[in-house]
Amino acid sequence: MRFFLCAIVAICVIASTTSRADAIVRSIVLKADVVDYYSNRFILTADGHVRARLSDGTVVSGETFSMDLKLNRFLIAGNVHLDGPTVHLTGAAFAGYPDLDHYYFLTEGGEPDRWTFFGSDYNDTHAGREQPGDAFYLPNLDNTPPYLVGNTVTIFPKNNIEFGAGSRIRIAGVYTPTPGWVVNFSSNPNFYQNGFAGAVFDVQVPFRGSSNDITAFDIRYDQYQGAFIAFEEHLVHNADYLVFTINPLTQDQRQWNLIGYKRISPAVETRLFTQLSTLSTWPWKEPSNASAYTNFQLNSRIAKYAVSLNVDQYNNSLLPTDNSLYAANGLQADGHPFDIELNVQSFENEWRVFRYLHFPIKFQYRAGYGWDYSNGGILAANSAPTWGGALYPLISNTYVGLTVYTPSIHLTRLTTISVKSDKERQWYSLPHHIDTTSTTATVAYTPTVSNRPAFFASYNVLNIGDYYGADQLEAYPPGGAGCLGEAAPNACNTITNQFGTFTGLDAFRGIATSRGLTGSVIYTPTHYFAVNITMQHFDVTPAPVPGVGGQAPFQLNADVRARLTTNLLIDVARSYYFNFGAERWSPEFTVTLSP
Amino acid sequence: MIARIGAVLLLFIALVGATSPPATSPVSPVTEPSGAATFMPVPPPPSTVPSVGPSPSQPIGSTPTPGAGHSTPQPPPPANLVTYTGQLLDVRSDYVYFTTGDAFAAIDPLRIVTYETGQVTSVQPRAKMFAKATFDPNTHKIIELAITTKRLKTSDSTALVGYAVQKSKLSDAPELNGGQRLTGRPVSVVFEITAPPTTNVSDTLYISTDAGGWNPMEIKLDRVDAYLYRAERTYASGTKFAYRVTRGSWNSVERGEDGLDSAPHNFFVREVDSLAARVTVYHWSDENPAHPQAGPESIPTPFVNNPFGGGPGGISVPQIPTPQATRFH
Repeated sequence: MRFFLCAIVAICVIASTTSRADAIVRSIVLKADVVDYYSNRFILTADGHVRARLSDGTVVSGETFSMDLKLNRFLIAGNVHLDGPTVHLTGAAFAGYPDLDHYYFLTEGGEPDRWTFFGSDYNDTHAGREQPGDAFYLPNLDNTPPYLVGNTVTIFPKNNIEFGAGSRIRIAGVYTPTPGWVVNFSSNPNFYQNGFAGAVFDVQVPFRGSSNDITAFDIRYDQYQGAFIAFEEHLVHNADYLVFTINPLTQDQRQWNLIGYKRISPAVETRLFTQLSTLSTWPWKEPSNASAYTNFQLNSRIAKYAVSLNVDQYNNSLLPTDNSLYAANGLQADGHPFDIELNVQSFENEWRVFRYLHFPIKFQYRAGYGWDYSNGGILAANSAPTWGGALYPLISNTYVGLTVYTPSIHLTRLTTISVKSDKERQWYSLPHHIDTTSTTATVAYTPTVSNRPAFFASYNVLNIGDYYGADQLEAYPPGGAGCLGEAAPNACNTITNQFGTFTGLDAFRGIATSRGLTGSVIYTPTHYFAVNITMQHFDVTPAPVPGVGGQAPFQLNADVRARLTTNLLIDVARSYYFNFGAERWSPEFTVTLSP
Repeated sequence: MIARIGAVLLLFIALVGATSPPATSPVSPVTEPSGAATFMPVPPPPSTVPSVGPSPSQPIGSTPTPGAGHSTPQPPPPANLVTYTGQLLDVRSDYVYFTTGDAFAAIDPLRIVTYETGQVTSVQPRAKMFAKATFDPNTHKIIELAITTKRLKTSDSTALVGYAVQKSKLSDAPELNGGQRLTGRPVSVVFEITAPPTTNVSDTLYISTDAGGWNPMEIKLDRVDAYLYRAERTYASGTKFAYRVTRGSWNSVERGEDGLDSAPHNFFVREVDSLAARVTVYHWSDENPAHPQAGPESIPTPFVNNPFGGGPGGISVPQIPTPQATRFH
């Protein structure tokens, strides 16, 4: 008993000591007459009756405050009062460097002095110690309008800042009230894991946050749902994260997404993605239709191999007596397929003998084994659950693959050539196999100075064949490609869709070939201007069908970049499809602004 | 006799006039625009301009007496005064604190004037203001502080050695040694990314940075080689950022050689002319066509695992970049 009491006391002491030592950097609650955030500089300022409460309980007040959120350092200046459980000081300025765990103070009275505090031990002044030369500098923000304005903000160093309700955000030059706003500036990209399917318009309203999470509503629009609202919650801890979203929240058809990632050890990680789709008037109502999908991955490094286990579970119908599409089509029994696959991929290897011949050749190889299961039988080549009169509820597959490639080999000082080839074969217990072969050769001319144009040309041949041996014509009857996903009686030679009518698909027998030639020129005459023009030609069999498969025969991509200011670069891109599928220019210009 | 005395006086005046500089010329070149401290005589205040501020002996912050300075000639300032221009942190207890962290003693009462007009003002100096301090070289104390809310070019304070007041003797801080002075000058940063052989020739690569809110399409890279992609950007020295390489979305992000999620690359912009950020990408998160990275952006289709309406396999013919419907199933 005494042992446990001692252990508890020891743990409490250690915990309190630890929390005291690092608590000062966990959060800062800042109040002032005006608090401004400058998004382009990641700088937060406050003026007038500034009061900053550090998470260890210390309160620092003054006339002005500034914090560089990226460099994680702050300054309070002007009639500074430092008050804490063991300290009551006045001075001219207090600067905090949480990363160094040092705090710098300019004293007043008698004769001014420079003090340095280590951590939150304010009783040990380290008077006269050298301080960073710019510890008390205030940022120059002239002519820069703040992005957010408020009077209360909670700072979670290195992660985010949370403005209180009533803060105003600058939108198109107008400051608009918000229900609160969180700005994330973390260097951890996991705060930005996407939990939504695409929309053409999305404005995030992150109204709540802490050092480990962000909660937000999203105002979204797409051509199928119209305008709607979605919800997202992100929980992040170092490399691990959990994302939960409801998209859309306000429409009948909803997706409930959960994305999880856990780094179990430096060599092992797990991923989880599960998606529930429901159809109901309100989120809490019983849905009239529901389906789900779950993917789980376990990835690990074993010696010089990347090993992964991938599991998929589809629940296309979750309602016992439902009226869903699957039930209506008599496919309810097929609605719960499952697959699992083990993959092994080697690290990069090299045949050293070729290096000695000044012609280095590298290679990687891979292999895998998996099962596909569906109670009602897996749809076979003829789009029926049986093949040769037999039902195949379980199909196993095995694959091996090899990639062989050269690095860029210099033909001349500025001209390089490289070749790569990949071959994969996949066998199935339902007797057929698929071969995929891709070979690419590239020649590039790359000047050492960027103000001369660089060129490259690449030729690629891709072959994909699904081989059934003697049953090839049964698997791929004439016209089979014309009605993808349709049973053989519906086979056709012609496809008509919103892009036009396309014919000539009768010849397809399960073997596809794509030959592509790509040429590109990149010209950067100055640091302020760059042009990239790429021309591609594809010769694809079976004939490409827009919206279904294949590549447009001719594509021209133009990309122009110009630096407008020191911190602003505009990138304008557009593609031309030479009237393929009645498409000429790609739907619109792509305009990107970046630093 | 009187004529001799007059001639001697004239000769003396002439000699003095020849050897003394004109009263309005600087003792040393004015170097304020370049940022150095200035050693120049303070021009006498325009005595013909009436002053409405408090007299020099008036306490800081006291209410000025209208007309108190009317037609009152200001005392001629001593020559060779030292000035320093900088941003204020605080003025308190007879000391003026600048953002350099230096504290300078000031006479009591300190004469506060408006920088633009040179007239005495009742405005209290406060943090963030800019000020030009005029020192008495004998006492090393500030005798006049010209304040403004407009940004002024900061002087070099090295000429003020011995002027700043610090109670304790300066001691070294080993953790700061070796620290580099960063001026924020523009530095050209070239991103050179080596893509894995699984990258299609038509793929576009991007750099995503924390500075850009991890936008997966933030910086577009140009393909200059079979594997090499390049882009150039300019950053201020001292900038720290983290970045990752994507193919346009977080469902197609770089992975390590072991196939595991890799940490962002950290980059620090040093005080040089140009830098290169070189990264080799070994894998993409979606490079396995049979099992692309699952996520909301890649909504799973019903279990029709057949490439051309054929048998199970999970291979696909590349789609042309036409708009695709995002549908619920």
